[in-house]
Amino acid sequence: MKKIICIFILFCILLTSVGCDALGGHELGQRLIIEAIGIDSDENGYLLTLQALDLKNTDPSGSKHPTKLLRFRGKTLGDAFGGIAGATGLTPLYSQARFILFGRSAAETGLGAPLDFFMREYNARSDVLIAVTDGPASDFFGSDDNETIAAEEIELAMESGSNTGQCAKIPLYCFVSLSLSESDTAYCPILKKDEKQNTVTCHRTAFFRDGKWTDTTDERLTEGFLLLQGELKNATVTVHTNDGAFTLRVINAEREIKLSGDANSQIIMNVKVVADVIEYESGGFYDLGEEEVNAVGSALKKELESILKDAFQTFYTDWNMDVCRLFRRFRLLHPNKYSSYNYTILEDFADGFICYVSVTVRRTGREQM
Amino acid sequence: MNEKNSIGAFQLCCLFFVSRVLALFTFILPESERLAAGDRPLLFLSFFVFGLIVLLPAFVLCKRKESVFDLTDRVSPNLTRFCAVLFAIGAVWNAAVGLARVSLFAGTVLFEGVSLTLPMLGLTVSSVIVAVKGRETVARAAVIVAGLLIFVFLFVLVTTAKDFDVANLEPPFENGVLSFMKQGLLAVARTPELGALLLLAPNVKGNVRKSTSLWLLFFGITASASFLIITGVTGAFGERQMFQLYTLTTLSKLGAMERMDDIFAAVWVLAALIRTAFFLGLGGESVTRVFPKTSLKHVIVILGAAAFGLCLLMSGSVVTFADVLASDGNVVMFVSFIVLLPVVVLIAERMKQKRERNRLK
Repeated sequence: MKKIICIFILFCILLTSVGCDALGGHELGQRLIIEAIGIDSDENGYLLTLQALDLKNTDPSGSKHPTKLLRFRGKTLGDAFGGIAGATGLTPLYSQARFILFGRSAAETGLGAPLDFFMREYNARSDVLIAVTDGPASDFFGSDDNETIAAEEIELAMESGSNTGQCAKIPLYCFVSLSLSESDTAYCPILKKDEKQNTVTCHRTAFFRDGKWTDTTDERLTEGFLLLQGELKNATVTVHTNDGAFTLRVINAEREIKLSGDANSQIIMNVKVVADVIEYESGGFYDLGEEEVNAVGSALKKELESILKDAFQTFYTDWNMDVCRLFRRFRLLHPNKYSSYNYTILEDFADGFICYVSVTVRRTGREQM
Repeated sequence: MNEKNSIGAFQLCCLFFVSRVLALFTFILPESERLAAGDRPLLFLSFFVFGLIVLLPAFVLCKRKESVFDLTDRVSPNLTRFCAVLFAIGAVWNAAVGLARVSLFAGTVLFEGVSLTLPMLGLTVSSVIVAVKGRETVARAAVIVAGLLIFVFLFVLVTTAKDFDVANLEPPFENGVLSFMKQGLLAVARTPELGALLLLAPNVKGNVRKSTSLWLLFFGITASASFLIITGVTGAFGERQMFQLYTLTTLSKLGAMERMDDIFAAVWVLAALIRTAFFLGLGGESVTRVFPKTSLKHVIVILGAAAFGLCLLMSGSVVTFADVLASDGNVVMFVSFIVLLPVVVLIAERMKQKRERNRLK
């Protein structure tokens, strides 16, 4: 009898609990699967641009995933997102979004309000990437009469930019954490669109103060920032020695910070760099001897130390930004001394900054003689 | 000791672990009651100390191989009935709290905007069936689920550790040592499983005191490690999330294995099933003390229905639920049940024995 009841219950479950809408949810076809989100703001509120999968026009072979562009307006971001269901008849699914782009206007006005929406929305992923665009985010995915740039392509641009030392990518949860802390500085990559080629590049990094985009790094400062973070990878650096110009690829830069805050704040930063020589402009095809390799290593060390020091100076003295989160690190070590944060502490940090770079030239491109 | 209905000390600890982990995963507290981020990695210390203090009366019972009802029987049968009713109410309440945790979690994160009455009914019915199978069955299942949970914990902690940033941490005792101690007491008060020792003392094989003490330490360290990784990885963002451990699981990935959070959530639902069955079983046994002729199965079904009803009432609002859990009343109830009641009964029994000895003299 028990077995019969169990089999009966099993069949009931099998017949009634199948599909996404068994419990009052939504089938896949009733969902608007969002791949990318663009947010702009002006005096009228927010303009939301979505790149979503066009499930009705999906290629039966499955090789192509057509997308559609949708735009919604609202006084608040919640208003704009709320309009999706009414306009499309579909329930938005944010969890598949690869990134959130903020237009320059929105980023300069402040990202506090729009980010609050994503913090409260459990449907959105915590590790979705954040970036800002040079112009409006609404134009970034392409227009209705222009070919759309796929979200995947934009995500790849962010990944490759981050992997070649051109920008620093950041997920939502890190961006929010940095924004919420009084002493920290949030940052994200800047995306630029080439209208003629309809391609996207990711270069430079935007820095935020009180949630607003206030400062932008150039290429050298971006490299310095990544070095300070210990995140510089695959960046190319050109150095000059008596033998000619060498272009090197920084394969890896491991950073270690030692703090001493008993009397004055002292920060010792050790960076271990591994680099490959990828080009030697000498006017011929010469091999490199030990002396040349040592000279290249010394030149790279000097160049990287200079980049590091300049970056530290800019961030800590000129911009008053604690990008290495030194205040928080010092606070863990000496909670009483570093109980409250103010900008003057950053000047102390700048005075006490010492950096050492050690370089290992791993490959020279040709066998050494 | 009733050999048929007895479980091992290790099984009991697994039961405690599975049941308590659910509260850790669905850690819902109002902002005002949240433990300072810097204190969390050290929470296991105060949890362990307070846990041991709270368990002292239960350890006395364990040593004597007697349940609290064995003592009350000797003092007064009416006291047994009174205590049994109290324990049954407490068991139903805790079963309902476990169900409500799952309901609030699933309704917020997994199936937003979906009515969960039917799935919660399914979970309650399943728990009733497991509870009816007996304590030994629940304990055996708990060992398997505990293994799964530990694997999940390790997977999440190890795979997210690479994103750990020491700068996300806060210095300890920023709100003072008293606040730290209070939070330790609150964490113990959210461990009603400890009360089960008062009832199960004669039915547990092995060195219960040693095992339970080790469990307190193990669970404390597990919770502290989780909080440490949550704070170190998610920083201020995690602080503002309702289900912090779940947020951490969404970040967990290993190679091509991503978005494991739904699978992990399923394991947590399994933990809820074990927890509910455990408390319903305890409640059922308490009621049969008052009404010995009543069938345990029928009692468990009725208690299950009561727990389901309470769960529906509690899971209406996260804010209300959080306030109820963080209320001082909850701590008072916990201390009254697990510390004061056995102490009073032990004293009453001692006094009665003394009176009888004097009378004989």
